Amino acid sequence: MSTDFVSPLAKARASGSARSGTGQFLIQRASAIALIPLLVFAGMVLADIVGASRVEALARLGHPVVAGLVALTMIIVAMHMRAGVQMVLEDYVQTPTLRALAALANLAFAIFVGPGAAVALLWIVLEARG
Amino acid sequence: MVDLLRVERVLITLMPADQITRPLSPHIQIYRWSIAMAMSIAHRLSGLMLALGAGLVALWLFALADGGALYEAMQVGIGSGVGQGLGFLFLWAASHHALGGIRHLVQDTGRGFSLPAVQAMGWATLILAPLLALVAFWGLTR
Repeated sequence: MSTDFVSPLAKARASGSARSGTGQFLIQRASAIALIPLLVFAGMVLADIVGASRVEALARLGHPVVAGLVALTMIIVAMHMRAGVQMVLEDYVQTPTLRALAALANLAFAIFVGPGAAVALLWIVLEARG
Repeated sequence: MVDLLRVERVLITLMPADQITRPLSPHIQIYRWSIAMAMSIAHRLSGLMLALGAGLVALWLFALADGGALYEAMQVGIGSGVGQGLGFLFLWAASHHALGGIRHLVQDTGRGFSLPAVQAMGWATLILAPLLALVAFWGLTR
């Protein structure tokens, strides 16, 4: 006998628990902890680069380990950001359709910030290698 | 002279129920502000500002990789007075959000819920954040 108290119609309507809230909470907390050291490192790399010329910037970021760690930082920032902004959307956007669209926009922005920045850094490493 | 009451009554019959606005009880204007409430709002606001900043960082990385006109323009922008000011505000948002985040992590362990602890962490966040931002700004612009 099934112990599932959610009717098939309710599932089709996506009502009831989202069943992924705990995961989001853990992503939020774990990414926050990881970001404490990562942002310090990325901040130091940034300090070297900000005033410098493009040639110097490429020399700094062209090192695979540096670029890799900065890319990792951006990806984890994107995960943390997506989870946080999603909470804000759930609080303030009342209409289901608009909220769904906003969630997609949030995902698109997170992909730009995370994997997007990683692609840009890969580009930089390849260019630095000549 | 328009009879507002009659207009209102007609509109109410035409509008869907959830669009009819009713007077709301004042809440933000009346509820007594506490440091915890203010820091919670500040945590959310700083997070949103950081999200925008992260987008700019990603854009800057693309511009750096491309090396074209956008990169030049962004470097000029970063070097300008407005750019430096915004940079400091971004650092302030980052330090505030990070310190507030530490408060969340501490409370996740079950500690820090007593009123003195909440107030102490709130004021510590508010006061330490700009100091931390100043140190970071000095370090970055040395």
